[in-house]
Amino acid sequence: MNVQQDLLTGIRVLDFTWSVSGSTTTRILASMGAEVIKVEWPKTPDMMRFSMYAKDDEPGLDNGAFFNSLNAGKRSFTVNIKSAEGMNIVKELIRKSDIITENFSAGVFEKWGLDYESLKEINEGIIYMSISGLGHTGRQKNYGTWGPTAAALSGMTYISGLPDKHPSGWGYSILDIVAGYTGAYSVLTALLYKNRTGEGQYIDISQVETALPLVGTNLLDYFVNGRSSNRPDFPTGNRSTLSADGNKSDFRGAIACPQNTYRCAGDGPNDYCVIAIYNDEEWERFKEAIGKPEWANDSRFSSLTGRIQHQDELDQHIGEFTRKLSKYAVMEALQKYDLVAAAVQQNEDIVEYDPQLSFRGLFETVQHPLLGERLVEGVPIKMSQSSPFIRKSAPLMGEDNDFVLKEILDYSNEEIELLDTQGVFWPLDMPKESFKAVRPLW
Amino acid sequence: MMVEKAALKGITVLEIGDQLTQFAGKLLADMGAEVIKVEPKEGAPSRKIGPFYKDIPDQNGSLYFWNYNTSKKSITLQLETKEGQEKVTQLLHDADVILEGNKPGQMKEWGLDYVTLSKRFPTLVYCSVTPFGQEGPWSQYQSSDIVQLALGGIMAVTGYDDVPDAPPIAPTGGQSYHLAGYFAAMGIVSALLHRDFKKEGQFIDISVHDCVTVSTEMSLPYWIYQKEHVIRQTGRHALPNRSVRWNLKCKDDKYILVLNTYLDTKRWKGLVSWLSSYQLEEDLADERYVDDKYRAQRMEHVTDVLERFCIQFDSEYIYHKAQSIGLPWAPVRAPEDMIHDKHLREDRKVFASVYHPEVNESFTYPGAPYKLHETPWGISKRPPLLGEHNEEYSINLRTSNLSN
Repeated sequence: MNVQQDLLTGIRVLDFTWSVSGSTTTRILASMGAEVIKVEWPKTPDMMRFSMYAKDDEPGLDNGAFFNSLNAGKRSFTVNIKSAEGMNIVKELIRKSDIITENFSAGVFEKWGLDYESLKEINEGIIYMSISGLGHTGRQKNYGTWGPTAAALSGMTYISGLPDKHPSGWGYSILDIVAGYTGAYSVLTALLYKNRTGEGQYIDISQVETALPLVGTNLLDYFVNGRSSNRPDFPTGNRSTLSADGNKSDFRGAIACPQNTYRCAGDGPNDYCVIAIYNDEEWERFKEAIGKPEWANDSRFSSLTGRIQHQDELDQHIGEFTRKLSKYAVMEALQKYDLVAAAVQQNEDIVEYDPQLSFRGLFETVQHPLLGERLVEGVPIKMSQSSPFIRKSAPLMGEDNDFVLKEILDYSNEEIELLDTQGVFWPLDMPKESFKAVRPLW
Repeated sequence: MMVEKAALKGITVLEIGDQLTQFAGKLLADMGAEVIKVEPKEGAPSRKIGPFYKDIPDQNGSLYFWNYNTSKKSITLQLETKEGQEKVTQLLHDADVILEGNKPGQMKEWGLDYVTLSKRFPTLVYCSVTPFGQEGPWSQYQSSDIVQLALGGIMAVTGYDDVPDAPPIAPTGGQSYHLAGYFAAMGIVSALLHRDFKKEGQFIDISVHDCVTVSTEMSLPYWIYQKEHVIRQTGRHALPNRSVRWNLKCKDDKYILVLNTYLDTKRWKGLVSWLSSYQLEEDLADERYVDDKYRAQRMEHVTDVLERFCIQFDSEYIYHKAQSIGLPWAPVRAPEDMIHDKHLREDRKVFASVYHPEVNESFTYPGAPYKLHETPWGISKRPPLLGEHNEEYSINLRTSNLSN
């Protein structure tokens, strides 16, 4: 391994995150070479340890499939933080760490006596990053939130869907992902600042607030122009606009028409393509690309305004063309004419057949003791000197207890054994082999 | 407003790009970096993208441009000319980063590619953001936000299971560029950390397609571990099998998210007693429902009962009452509805007021996506007018001034 690749070598992250958002942050930091120690307790495990299993696998504590992806590259240390001994060990670790991360409900860390002021007393230059639903301050800080809750509150659910229908929302917790990214970006920024000034940082991230720039243009249209999104023709479905004056936008970029999803050959739920035609010049090329059918010369379609006014009819014609071809054939046929078109890809298409991702090597391989060799998504920052990469699979519960206690904290075997008999590193009433998932989360 | 302590103070970025780079540029600028947007003399293309201030198209009135270019400066250069290219080189003496979003090969044509520039500026951090990356079979393909949402797998998982023949849905707002913007910004800051340590710059190659693909949560693992496709479901996670619906209609025509994934005994009892206070609990007071397994098998019915309950009350009432008994429910709001939320507006101050001297008005902008206590996020200045900072950087468009 090239030593230069270890961008965050020597940076230790004491990681109390679980679920998706915070774990996404520390996954990125681990890929950059930080030593991420996931602090866990078998009686209150990260729910992602049992949110998904490989086909035919018995549900267990250590063979979570999604967990393996989300926590790749991290170490695991089990300790009972509610025991005095456990808390002492955690404080010793805080002293020897650079970054503390957590995404508990607001107030949990404070209740443990680990608010920023206390953390600073233990370790002056500490960087403390927290992700919660509504932030650490304010009248509703104790409201219960998960990714979908934050998406509903912030408008992220609302902005996706067909006009005149209820919102479709997103097919996953987008704000878990984005909050995870904001965590990583802000921690890296805090590290750069600390390297220059010696000062630590307290980063208080609210998942709802991470949506602000994601709906930014939409908000400005309301605050500046007074145009409300509470109207039947918003969102616009997959179209760019529904109004010929071009003022009502989808905030995706320039107005295009046609712009939509179109059915392609096959009856699968993802046998669709998308097409977007931005101007008259592209419209002329589009006509060429689809073989100059007679309907396309209809003068009503010759200008962008006309196409918008008659887009129902237009889309019907285009659908008749795309219906005969596979989604990739449409993409190729139009891309050959430098037109914006693409296939709607589902998970299998992406993992198995996407030539561009394969060319770039986006997926990496990890070896897991129970799950075997598996593909994981890489961290998509290709750098000439210090590319992040996935270093190992997700940890087994407590896999790195010896490393943490002996190598970091210099505990002797005798000290460890004594604490072990007191149940500090594993609950005494919970034999390691006996764990069964209560029921899968979904 | 001048930010005293800023995390990226002293870092100078030349942003030679538009739709692909503007969000990353904003992330850096609002953290205190000096981001100079290098535009062609007619302006960056996104200045022509609506909606516009008062719906009047104007090069300084695009709200789309406003959203992504806070805290930046603007200079105009003709990069296809030798003068323009030399001016970039000149500016690099005081710059740390180039952030560019041109087609692969374009910067090389202008003599402004990493290989060329790094010879003179070995500590330069150079980040390219392209739709598909610098090379590969799709690298020259045309792209747009909806193309990225289609190819990267967001559309395949997003849509309806209660609207017949509904297609995959692309969320609005330009989301693919936001995901790529975060990775570009992370890449740049990590390269600055590396530079401070190793005294060398580097090249960063960001592909929007990569960034979207890794941002789809469980969809890819379902294929990797189970060889299963997932089905689209209204307002909730795409899964191999159908799950119980979440979004129920309220009396005020809004929807409420009744997130019941994490129900425990205490919350269940609280919910039933709330329904009972209106005699709307139907059979849910039956003790057998307290058992997690019994209830899990009957969640369709439970949701039917909740649906009949929710339609009788306004979404905001249900929200606060549900939260008071520990249920993580929330109204499905339009973005602008956040302005009426006192927790967000008054306590968290999530909106920023930004003064636009050119129209002598202050506007409400979306505020900080993260609260850094030592070095607060801030919009130091409204988005720049086209070429507003030409004079500051001695740019004379007629006869390029290279005397210094």
